[in-house]
Amino acid sequence: MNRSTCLILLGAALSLSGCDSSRAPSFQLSEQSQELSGFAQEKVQGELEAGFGTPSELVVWPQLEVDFGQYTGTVGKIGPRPGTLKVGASDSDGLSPASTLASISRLGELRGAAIVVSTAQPGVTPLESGESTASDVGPDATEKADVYRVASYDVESRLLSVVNAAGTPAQLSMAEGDTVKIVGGVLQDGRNLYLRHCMHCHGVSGDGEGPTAQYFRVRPRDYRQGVIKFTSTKATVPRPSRDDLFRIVKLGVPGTYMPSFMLLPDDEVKAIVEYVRWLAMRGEMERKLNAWLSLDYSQAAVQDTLENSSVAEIRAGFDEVWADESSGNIERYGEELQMDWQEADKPESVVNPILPRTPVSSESIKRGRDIFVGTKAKCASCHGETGRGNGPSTEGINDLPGQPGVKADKAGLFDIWGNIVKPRDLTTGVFRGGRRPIDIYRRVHSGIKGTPMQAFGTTLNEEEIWDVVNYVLSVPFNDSSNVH
Amino acid sequence: MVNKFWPLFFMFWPILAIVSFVIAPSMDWWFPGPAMSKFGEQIDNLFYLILVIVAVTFVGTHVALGYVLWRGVDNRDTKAWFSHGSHNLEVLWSIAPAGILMFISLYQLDVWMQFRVKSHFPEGTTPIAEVTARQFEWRIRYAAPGKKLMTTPQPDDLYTVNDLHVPFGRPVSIRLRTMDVQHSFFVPELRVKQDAVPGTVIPVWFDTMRPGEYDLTCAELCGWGHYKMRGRVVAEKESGFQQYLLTLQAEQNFDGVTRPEHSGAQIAEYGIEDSQ
Ligand code: HEC
Ligand code: HEC
Ligand SMILES: [Cu+2]
Repeated sequence: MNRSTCLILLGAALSLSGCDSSRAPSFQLSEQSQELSGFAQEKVQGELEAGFGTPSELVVWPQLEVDFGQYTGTVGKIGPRPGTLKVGASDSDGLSPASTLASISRLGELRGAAIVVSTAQPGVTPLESGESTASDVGPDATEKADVYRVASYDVESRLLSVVNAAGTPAQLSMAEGDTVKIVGGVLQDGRNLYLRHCMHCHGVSGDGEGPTAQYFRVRPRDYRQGVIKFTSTKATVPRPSRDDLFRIVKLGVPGTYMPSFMLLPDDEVKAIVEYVRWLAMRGEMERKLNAWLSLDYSQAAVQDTLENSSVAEIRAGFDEVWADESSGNIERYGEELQMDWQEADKPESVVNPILPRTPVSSESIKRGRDIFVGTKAKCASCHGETGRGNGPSTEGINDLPGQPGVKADKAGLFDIWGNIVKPRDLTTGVFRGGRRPIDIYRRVHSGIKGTPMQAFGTTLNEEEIWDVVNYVLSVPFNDSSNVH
Repeated sequence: MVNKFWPLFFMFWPILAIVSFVIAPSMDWWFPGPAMSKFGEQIDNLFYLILVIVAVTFVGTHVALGYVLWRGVDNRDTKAWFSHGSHNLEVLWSIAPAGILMFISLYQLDVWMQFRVKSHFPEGTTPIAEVTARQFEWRIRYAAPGKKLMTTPQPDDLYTVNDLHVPFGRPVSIRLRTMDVQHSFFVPELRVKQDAVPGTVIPVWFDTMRPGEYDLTCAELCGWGHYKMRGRVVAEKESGFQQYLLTLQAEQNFDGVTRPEHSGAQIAEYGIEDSQ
């Protein structure tokens, strides 16, 4: 009798500690930001919150190259209760998708998404529905617009309840015939799925420091530099394409703890991909702000200046600089983000050879092997003569990746996230970026971003790369290199 | 009335057992649907046989116990009779359970041999894939279409993850391995469950009676990500299975130039080249 009461209590205690819903996820400032002096930190935090919000209150920054998900419709009858309205003038039309991914976000679950109402003004052409890019999500300059949040949307009755920022039913100042746009559904879906499937490794802010990350030798990716390793894009294109991310999430990264999400439906993966891109942009924005402020306003820099000026003076100087430059800089950073990420999705950014793969033959493999150990590409300097990943560079002091001339303080090869990376042991036949010939071709052509393996697309011509690919794919089956 | 507590207490359990048997199927406390493999039906039959034996024994002993207590409570006058054991009874209740156990073990031997012993696998069982469990996924290796699955990887092997396709209607087998700790290959609807043990390759065969998708899970607590080891077994027509392998092959040999000939569906699932 006693034992059973005990078990029940224990059960209750476990469930209480297990589902602590009061700990809402929040974005953490990066380490670099934390090195800024307090007042600068505050501004960075404020700016990030204005542009991106918090995990529970996402903000749509229309300029970003993210498909936030958008629906459009017209305002029908207002009412019956305060803050509610019917969407669509006739019986047939409700909200219709206006971005490529909009249909992903389930209409009934738009809760929290932003609703933008623009009043039809005489002389202004009304918005076209249909395909739109991220940048026409927000209100146009020519429109008078009000922004609310969706409390609920009932698909059947097309009844939209709207709340204002404080969460109370909004005083609607709209009229029948106005245009409503509902934005952010995809980002919210992405957020929910990310928190469920990815956060425990990649962290809420995408810093690769989730609670389970400590168990892995290969660290989960920190997205905040906008760099991922295995892309189809050219070496000169710094960002991954949507397709690259989609493929990585679907197939996982074999040989690491990054799992395959093969069985997640495509539309869910697409929503996650948008969210990951958005997290990366948020991280980049933070880095850009840091790069600007850290020179003069890091804690160390402030300490130095304190010798010939007072705290108040530094503070005043900062406020002036901020007032003068911040809005211009932030606009520029936003444009840079937009350009970089737009470029990654352009068809011409993808590495696609003109020549098909050279048919596998012992001659081709031999030529590939010669290049591999030769002086032109020096693959063997990292991967070793037998491809086991134990070349001489792994024991020397090398330059840090992306910083020629800056030596690492320890022996070994480092990636831009500060981890030691071992050149792949090619005898295992496990390829993290995919095992298709085109994958290996792209690895050699544009290198592995963020790692010391640089691009060989300019050193080697297409035929040579295909020979190398044939050699690399033959290594696991090559007895002479397989002897232990 | 207080005196009747113990008889009632013991009668309550067999009644509860019977009630839960009766309502279980409608409450969805039962199997995940009927067995989807011929072999699974045999497993179910064994399960039901043992269930009936156990149920009869359990209900019978409790009813007897209840009856004896009930009688004893009402019968305060007769003096209790003490026994120092009955040789005949001892023999009886040792032999009866032993007989039942012996019967079960002989009766199930066929099924057990068929499942566990390679030489007793049904005729024509073909190995179609190597399934390697790994924290926390199922890595799958097929031979190229038209080729035999070899024990060591071949250059033209095909790889995928968490998604095991098989032809339906005939017995097929997989080579089950693990790269790290112990896992267990469990397809509830097919009634297949087999541990993957480090250092060994275990052949597992099964058949599927109907085309469809069946959940594949890991049934051995294998680490913090155990719950993530969800995969699926897709049973399809022989021709569909061959087509699947061809698509996988085309996808895997893609060189960015030669457009793979494919049915579209699979490549679309991987998402990629078509959209460019
Ligand atoms: C079990 C931990 C784990 C989970 C869960 C996980 N990842 Fe990863 N992820 C990793 C690790 C480890 C790497 C690093 C692989 C490497 O460096 O080769 C990685 C790398 C990545 C990369 C970068 C790959 C590259 O080419 O650089 C992306 C993008 C990514 N993960 C996205 C996701 C998304 C999206 C999810 C959720 C759907 C997710 N991950 C879930 C561990 C995880
Ligand atoms: C400066 C050292 C260095 C050189 C030179 C180098 N690599 Fe690498 N390579 C690496 C490192 C480090 C990795 C592992 C990157 C990672 O996943 O973190 C790697 C990974 C690879 C991979 C595995 C890709 C995958 O998807 O898993 C292949 C294939 C490869 N290299 C081929 C080559 C070839 C071919 C050459 C010569 C043309 C070459 N490498 C030159 C350092 C080098
Ligand atoms: Cu497992």
